[in-house]
Parts: sequence; structure tokens; C-alpha cells
Amino acid sequence: MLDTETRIPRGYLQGKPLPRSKAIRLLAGGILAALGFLVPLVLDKVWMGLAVSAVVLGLFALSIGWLSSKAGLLSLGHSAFYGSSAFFVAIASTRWGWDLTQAFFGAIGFSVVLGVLIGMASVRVGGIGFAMVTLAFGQAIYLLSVQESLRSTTGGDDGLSVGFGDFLWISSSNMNHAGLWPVVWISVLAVCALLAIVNRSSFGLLLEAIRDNQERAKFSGFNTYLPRVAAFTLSALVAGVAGALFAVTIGFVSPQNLFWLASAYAIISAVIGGVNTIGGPLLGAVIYVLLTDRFASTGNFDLYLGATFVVVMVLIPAGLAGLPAMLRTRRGQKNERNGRTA
Amino acid sequence: MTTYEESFSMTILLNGLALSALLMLLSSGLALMYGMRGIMNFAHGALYMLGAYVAYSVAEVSSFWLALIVSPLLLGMFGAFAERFGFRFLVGRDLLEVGLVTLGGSLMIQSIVITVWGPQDLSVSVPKILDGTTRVLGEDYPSYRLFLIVVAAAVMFGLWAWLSRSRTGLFIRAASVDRETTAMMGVNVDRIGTLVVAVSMALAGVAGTLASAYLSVSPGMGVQILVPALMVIVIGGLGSIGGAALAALVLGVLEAFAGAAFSPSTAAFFPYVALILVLMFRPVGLFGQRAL
Repeated sequence: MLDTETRIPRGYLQGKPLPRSKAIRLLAGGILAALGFLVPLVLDKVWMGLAVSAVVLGLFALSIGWLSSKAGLLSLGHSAFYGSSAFFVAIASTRWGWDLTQAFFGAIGFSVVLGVLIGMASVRVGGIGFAMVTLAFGQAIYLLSVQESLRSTTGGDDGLSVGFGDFLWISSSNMNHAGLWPVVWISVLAVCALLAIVNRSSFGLLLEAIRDNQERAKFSGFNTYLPRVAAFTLSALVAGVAGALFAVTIGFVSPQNLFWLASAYAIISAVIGGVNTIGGPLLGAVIYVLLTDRFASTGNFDLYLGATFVVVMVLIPAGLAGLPAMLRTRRGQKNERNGRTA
Repeated sequence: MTTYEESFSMTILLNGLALSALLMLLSSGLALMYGMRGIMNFAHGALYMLGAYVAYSVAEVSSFWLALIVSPLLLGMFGAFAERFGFRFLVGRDLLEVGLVTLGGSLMIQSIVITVWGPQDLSVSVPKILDGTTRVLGEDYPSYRLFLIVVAAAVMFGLWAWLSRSRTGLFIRAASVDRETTAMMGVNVDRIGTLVVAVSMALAGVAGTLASAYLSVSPGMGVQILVPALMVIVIGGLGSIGGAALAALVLGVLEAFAGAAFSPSTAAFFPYVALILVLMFRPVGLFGQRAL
């Protein structure tokens, strides 16, 4: 699950000409990014709803998957950022009289602050301990949302509707999934670009070094604590973007968004898609949403999801996005055994 | 006045002990599986729920007493099966990977339970003989809860005696320290592993059966108690069964008193705050030997 991905040559950052395959890939990415804006022209209302859900879940899954892949830290409490960002939008827009745009950016800022605080406390312990501490923080925040004494603010078990109004350049009359799609798509592109840049930066390398061998990284003179807090905060930011988008597009938040199962479903999506790439968790979320659409009415959704997850986990730990690389390696090993070069 | 306050706190103490008893049974099963077999079982809550539903069905056609035997037995057999044909092939895989596999298993169990028994809450009636109240130090207290506490204490004592006094217990402890060397000494570590998983899941069956007549039987009961039980084993020190039992005891009782002093929903914060505080000052947990 946490294998190192193969590193792409970093020459072009130093002004060398782009290798041809690289240029083609960048061009394809650019075209894909531009085509993404046209999605509302192709999909009908129902499919637009699914597309928005897939992207929101995909960003949430990406926040957890990226942290687990780059920092080796699997968080079970990211619903704390996702859910409280969604709640922030709802509370600020209904109780404090903020307009939606302010609430949206305020919520993302709030998850960053929360990310710094929880990160400082939780990255001290690694592995399973980290999973448990983040789970504890997440559940504590969930409990806060259902406290009877806070019902006048959070709406308690009933949840809370998001205030209605203009959002960024979108007028309130156009606030449907198709109308909001440009914001959703720009958020995805921004997050993917940000994570891709971080992955290729020296900071990304340092994170990998700490993940692979913390003692050696420390011995080489690096601070191993602050980079992990920073990675955790970045991941909280991404989860916060997902939560704020959820609140704006769905228009209703409930304590279920803060419950640990919300994190569990995001982890499942991330793992099915593959955590070692940026596209993997997004792919996993698409599969998750399609499964929901297909099986939710049968009432056996969890059975199929659980089974898919277990099969992927056991057979292809690198996830569906890691399948081609895994097959290549396997073929390479076979060729090596047969005395041929791959 | 004084006597009233004393007996009142006696009731709170017993309520706390009843909660402790369930947490203890669940967390000792979790700790057993983690410590002796290296699996963090996120399906433990779902198995506890399955145990409660099995108990419901057995109690419907026969009696609660039979359920108390059948449910743990079935869960134990399921555990042996799951180990033999599932977990054994995951030896050597990353701890969190195996944990996530159990998370997927937990979703499947939950879905199957809803298909078989339906989504509505069910209730199991308390057996006749335990239906009344018993006087404990001048206070009437529901007999069934006392029974729950006594059974849990007996099971915990049995588990302790088995692990620390029997030959099999010795093998289990040896295999948990060094699987390879234990195997070289002629112990069948595969069979030991199967036994450990079976006992762990049987404990979830005991907890589920006891809970079935105490709380209502619902599909959500597993996910509700799983997280506090996980907190308990981390606070106690991962893999330490004694630590888990003690942490369950202290947390259950403290939560009951905090619930009486403030409100039950405030007291629910207790396990999380305790975990965060314990890990800040003692990252291995109260009785943990190895770092997390």
C-alpha cells in the first residue's frame, strides 16, 4: 500500500528541454483539465449529482490517501476536517450571517488551523498509534456536534441546512450541480496541481525519506517532526476543501459527516483506487459512487463494497491505479527468472 | 441523607461496572488478537453485533441460557474458519493493511446481518430467574446487570488462568514473542494462531449475548462500541490483555460517575480525552511494552 512510486526525471524543472513522452503527458493532462469544464453539457441531472458526489468524495479520499502514501500516516480521523469544514459552512451561513463565499473560504481556513493543532498532537506517535489518536480526535469532534447543549448552534442529531445565497460568481438562481460544476472542477485541478508540485519538491522527497526511515532522516540532520505536521496540515486542507464543497453542493450537513465511518468509506475509496498516485483516490471515489448508485436500492451496498475492498486489498494492494505498474513488475520478475531482460 | 448518597453512588458504580464488563470482554478479545496474532481487528464490533443477533435467534426458539453457549461457540467456529482460510494468507503483510481488510469484512458482516434479521431494533427478554432486582448494600439493583458483571469477571479470570497457567497459554505467549523460534521448538504455531482468533471472536460472542438482553439488538450496536473498545486497548497498552482489562474497568466506572455528575453525553468524551492524554505522556500506553 505504501510502496514508493517510481520517480519521474526532474530535469525539466532545471530548464532542460522536456522529454517527448513528458510533453505528451502534460498536453493530455491539459486537454483533460479543459474538457472537464464541459461535463455539464454531457451529463443529465442525475449523473451530474453522481459526478459531484464522486469529486467531493474523491478529494476527501485523496487527502487521506496522499498522507498515507507520502508520510506513511494512515488517519482514521479525517472526518474531523471534512465534517467540521462542512459544518463551518452551514453554521457561518445560517447563524453568523456570513455569505456563502466567506463561509467557504472560512471553512477551509478553519480546517487548516484544526489540522495544525491535531497534527502537532498526533504525528508524535507513528503507525497504528497515529491511526488511533486521529480516530480519538475525530470521534471527540463528532460527539461535540451531537451535544445537546450545542444544539442551538450545530442542530444536533437533526443536522443543519446550509444558508442560501450567491456563491462566488454564481447567482443563487443557478445554484444546482451543473451551475456549481466549474467551482468543483477548479477545486479538483487546484488540489491535484498542489499535491503534484509538493510530491516533486524537495519537501516531498524529505517526507518520503522520513517515511522510509525516520531515524536515518533525523541522523542526516533533518527535523522529522515539523515536515510531518506540515504534511498533515496540507492533507487537512484538502479534506477541508472536500467538506466545504460538500456543504455548498449538497446544502445540508449532518453529524454522520463527522462520524468515523465517513473516514472509513473515504479510506476504502482511496485504497480501491490506489493511494500511490493522485488519480487513484479519485478513481476509487468514482467506483464507489457508481457502486452506490447501482446497489444502494438493493440494501446490500455494504456487502458489495466490502467484498470489492477485501479483494482489492488482498490481491492488488497498490489499488486499481497501481495495477499496470504491478503487472509490469511481475512480468519483469518473470522475465528475469527466465534469464531475459525486461 | 448520607445513606441515600451512598446507595446512589453504589448504583452508579454498578452501572459503570456493567459498562466496564462489556468493554472488558470486547477489548480483551481485541488485545488477544493484536498481541498474540498481530491483527488489529476492525470487525470486532460487527462480530459482537453478530453474536447478539445469533443470541436473539437462539433465545427465540429455545432459551437465553442456550444462547449463552451457542453464540460464543458459533462465533469461535467462525473465527477459526476466518483464520484458517483468510488471515493465515496475510501473515507478513502490513499491520494496517490487514486492519483495513477486517474493516471491509466488518461492512460485509453488517450488511449480511441486516439482510437476515432486518434493520429494526430487536430485544431479547431477560431470563425469568434474573428478571427481578437484588439488594446490594441497601439498594435494589437489576439482577441481570449483576449477572452480566459476574459472568464477565468469571470469563476474564478464566482467560487469565488459561493464558498464564496452561501449557497452551504458554505456547500462545511464546508465539506472540517470537513466532519463528516457537515453531522451531516444535509448537504448531499455525494451530495456535487459529485458536487465538477463535477465542477472540468467541469473546465477542459472549459480549454480544450478554449485551443482547441488556441493550437493544440493533445493526448499529457494533460500530458504536468498537471505537471505545479500540481506545481501551490503546490506553491499556497495545497487546496487553491485563492493561486492556484494567483500562476498561477504570474507564467504564469513571464514565458512569462523570455521566452522573455532568451528563451522559459529556461523559462520552471520556475515552477519547483519556487516550489523547495517555499517549501524550506515555506513548506505549499504560501497560504496553513495545512502542506503537
